[in-house]
Amino acid sequence: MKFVVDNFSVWIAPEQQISGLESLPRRELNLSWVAPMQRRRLSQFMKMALHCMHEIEGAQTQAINFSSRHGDLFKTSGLLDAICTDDALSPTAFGLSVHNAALGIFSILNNNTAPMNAIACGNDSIISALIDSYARLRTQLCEQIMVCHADRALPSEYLCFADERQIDHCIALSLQLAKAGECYFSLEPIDLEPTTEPSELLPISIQFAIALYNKTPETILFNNQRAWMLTYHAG
Amino acid sequence: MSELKNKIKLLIISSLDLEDMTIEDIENDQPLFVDGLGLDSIDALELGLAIKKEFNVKIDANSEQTKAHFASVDALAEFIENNRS
Repeated sequence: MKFVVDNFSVWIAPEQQISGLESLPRRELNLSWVAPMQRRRLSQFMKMALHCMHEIEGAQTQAINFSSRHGDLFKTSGLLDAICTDDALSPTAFGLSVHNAALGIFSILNNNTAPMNAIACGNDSIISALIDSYARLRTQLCEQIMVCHADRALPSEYLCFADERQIDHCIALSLQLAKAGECYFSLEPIDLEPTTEPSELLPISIQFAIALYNKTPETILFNNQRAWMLTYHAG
Repeated sequence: MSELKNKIKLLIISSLDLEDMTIEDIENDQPLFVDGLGLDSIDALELGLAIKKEFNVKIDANSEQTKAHFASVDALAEFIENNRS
């Protein structure tokens, strides 16, 4: 799988220190382009996603593949709490808790009617979004596609299930097929028995961001089940 | 009645996340939806739920009159005053 990354945006919670992203500018989320009446409903998860997608969206609207392992889990767990205590569900929270809510809001705010897809595939979610995007490019469904991945640290009641480091983060990037003479990345599955402790294992989306940011020649992306080799081919 | 109207305004601000607003920003007779305060249909559902919880009033979503009850703070206050159990 070979692809060109035209442009990318990474946002990591400012209090997190990530080796390989020390020089990444730490910025506040910029939502000034969203009207206040719409901004008031946005959760931190949505703000992260909209911030990064907005930084990538150019003059031309593009198709988007959104991925997240847990989605807006703070919102979902709030709804579950309400059900458990026999409280009425907030219509706003319910409407915005679906997996493609951030995409829907982004498409409305930008009047973007291009195809959009939302993916959840455990700790491989961003890889699945990249594979799906590559398939869309190869089958000429589009010439360019944005991939956006967002996840938040788990709410405290779910931390006992954590199998990787818990970090609020979002990455968005614009993909194209590689043309002759261009610098590109390739991504291939490899056999590897991971040995990293869950408390030290970075989410693959952040490993991927580090490799993109540093244009690292070879990076093994791995979680506790699978591994891939990401290679940067300078033109 | 003016105490009730202030309570309604505070409820509108808190339940609809209108963080930058105060009760002085909402006129009693100002339309709440579209051209007035600019609330939308999701706000109507959220506000209906908040009013039901706070004032223990029944709101019939299918009634033609419900729209009129939600027209302004004045209309809501009158509706709540007449229907509180």
